[in-house]
Formats: sequence, C-alpha cells, structure tokens
Amino acid sequence: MARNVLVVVEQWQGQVSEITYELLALGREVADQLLAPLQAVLLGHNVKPIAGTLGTADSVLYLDHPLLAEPLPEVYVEALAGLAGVREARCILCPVTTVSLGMGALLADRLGAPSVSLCKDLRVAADNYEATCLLYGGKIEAVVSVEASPAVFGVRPGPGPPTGAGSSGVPLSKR
Amino acid sequence: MHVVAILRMVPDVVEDLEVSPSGTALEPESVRLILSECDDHTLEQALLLRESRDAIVTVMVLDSLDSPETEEVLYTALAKGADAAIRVWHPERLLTTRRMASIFARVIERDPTLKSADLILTGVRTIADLEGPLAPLLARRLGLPHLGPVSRMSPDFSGRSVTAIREYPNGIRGEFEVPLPAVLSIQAAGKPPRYVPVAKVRDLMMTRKLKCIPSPAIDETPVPSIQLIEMRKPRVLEHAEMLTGTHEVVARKLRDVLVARGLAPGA
Repeated sequence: MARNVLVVVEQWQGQVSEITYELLALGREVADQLLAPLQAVLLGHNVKPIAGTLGTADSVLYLDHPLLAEPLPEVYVEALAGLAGVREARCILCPVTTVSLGMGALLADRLGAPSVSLCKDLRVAADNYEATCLLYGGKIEAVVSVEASPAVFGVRPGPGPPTGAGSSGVPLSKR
Repeated sequence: MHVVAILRMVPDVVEDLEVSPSGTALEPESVRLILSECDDHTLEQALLLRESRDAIVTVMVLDSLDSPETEEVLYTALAKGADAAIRVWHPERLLTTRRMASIFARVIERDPTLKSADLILTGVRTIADLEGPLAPLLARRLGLPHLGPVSRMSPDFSGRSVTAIREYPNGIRGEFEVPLPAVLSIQAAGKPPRYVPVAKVRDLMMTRKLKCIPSPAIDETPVPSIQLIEMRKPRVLEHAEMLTGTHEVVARKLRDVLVARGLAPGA
C-alpha cells in the first residue's frame, strides 16, 4: 500500500476553511518531492459533496458519522488514529486554527509521532522533513528537522497560495 | 469549587529578541520573561470564579530557568487574590509541550488537593508552542474532557458542570455544557486582567514563601524528537514603497501603481 501524504480537511457546517486549500497546496509540493500520493481526509456528517471540491488531492478519504458533525479535535483524533492509512502515512498536515485547536498535537501524541506546530513552510530535505515555524509572535523563525514517519505538522494559515478549490473529479477512496 | 490555573512564561516580544551565536537559541541577555497573554486571562478567569463561586484558586508554574520574573508572576497572582501558588522546578531548560503536559499531570495526580480540582485552566496558546498547545495534551493525560478556545464561562450552582463559550470563525460562538472535572483552554477571561499595585506584590514577597516542589520523574515511552537546526529573524521579502512628493506627484505615482496592477484604466 502506498504511504500517503495526508491533509486533514477543516470544514465547519459544510463549509471548507480556506486553510484546507492552503494545506492541499503545501501537501502537493511535499507529496511531489516524496513521489507519494496526496490524500485529503474529510471527517464530518452528511458532507460528502465537499469531497468534490478538494481537487488538488489524488484521493479523498471520507469518514461520516454523527459524532463527527462537530469538529471536536479529541473526537476527530480518535477517528483518525483508528485508520491504518493514517498510522502508516508519510506525514500528516493539520490546520492550526480555532476550529482545529490542538488536533495536530493530539494526533501526534496518540500515534506516538513527532509533532511540529506553527509551521509556515515544509519541505523534504534528504531523508528528513524540514519545517519552518513562526515563534514569538512572528519575531523568530525556527527551522526544525524531523526524521520519523509519520510526522504531524500543524500549519498556520497563510503558508502559501491555496489551490484546488472548486475542482472536481477526485476519487473518493473510502466511506 | 477548586480551580487550578496553569501559567506559562514567555519572552516579552516588545524586546528585540536576538538569536545566540549557536543559532539554535535566543540570546539570554535579550530575553525578558513575562506571563503569556492567554495565561494572564487564565488567571483572571480563575479569580472571577473565586469571586462569583467562592472558588479556591491555585496557580502553578513550571520553572526551569530560576527566573525572578517567574517568582514575581506567582506573587502577583497571590496579590490579585489566588489562594496558593506552586512553583514546579525542573532542571531541563527546553521542555516539549508533551513533556510539560506529563509533568503537570503527574504533579496534579500526586497531590490529593490538586487531584480533586474541579477545573484546570490554561491559556489556549503561547507564542512558544512549537509542539502545539498544552491543554488538550494535559486533558488526555488526566483522562478529563477538554474544551477550547473558551472566552467566557459560568459554572452551575451544583458545581457539577460549567457552561463555556467556545469561539468559532467569523465571530460565531458556541455554548457548551462541560461536566466537571475538566480542562479548559482559555482564550479570554470574562473581564480584562486586573491590575494590582506593585507595593502589594512587594509586601507579599517579604511576608510569604512560595511552595516550590521538584518536578516528578516521568516514565513514558520516548517519542521521536524534533531537532531544532536554526533560529533566525524572519527574512523581509518585500518592503513598503513610500510615495513621496507634492500631492500632485503622489497622486500621479498612485495612479501609475493602480494602472500597473490593472486596478485602474490607463491614460
């Protein structure tokens, strides 16, 4: 099974957050560097049509359950951690917003994986991931290296121009 | 009701932060520690509960720098009305959020008074959370429910639950009933953080001793670590272009900029 680069989709009340498309754009770059498929993971309840708007991803993994209707990070993390595709992913990109507060750190904790938050950029360097993070209110950039897989990266809004919004035809891999 | 407020110290970003010659740490001389902004609100929220529900408030700080600023923050919390202040001493300087959560959890579990706390509050974020926010990780270790970011709360009179307002995008707020005990991430207190006269803080520093306890040993599976390879000031990619001259000259330059960007028709 191919080890994917995963992007956790942030949606609230059926609306995809702008940061999702920014994550997909960043995820596409990372996936291309790793020659790995890019998969979007969509969690929610009765939000299947959203999957068609995540066009930059090679596939969309859709989890539907009434408990996932409200984006509570603790619930989302339990759902994500139960998936083999998540446990075996190359890396996982999570949004850092008020909606998804702490999801990346919790998921990493649950998976026993390294966690980097406040990322503004991510690239593959040799066998490592190299993340650039904004600390101290944006006054200092920290460049960190992460070797293990999966690694979880919390990405703050504004890493780069979003792509993929509105395009369709993405294969829905699982429900 | 017993409320534990976990406070964290961060570098004051009003100061010009410098990177040390090693390139992987801040120059200590350039760092003045202050209470994290969200934790200032955490303390205020705890004190509001003390006033409205006769809550007992314990503040707790994990200190690995032995800084006088940390001591001052704890005395300030006492001067504002906190009932107890605990300084947890840990020799390791660069603690990950996960390790910090494990230490706080162990301290709380070992102390019967802290273990019986109804609410554990901490700031939703600090400006140094390289590994993510503390509260969800702490809640997971304590096996307690967590909610955040919370901007207002009011416990019911039975003390069995708290009604908390969670922030959503576009100014939308959700009202949640959270069973106690629980961990809440505080974005903002119901009122702005209060002021306390410096003289009151100084008086306390001379008359009261802080409770200082060593950090307990943590026995947990090591996690693949992240390696800090460089700290630097952000590179400025673009500068603002200042339009100078008489009004006519500035207007002409502004028109040229708008035309060049396709925002106004050309001459």
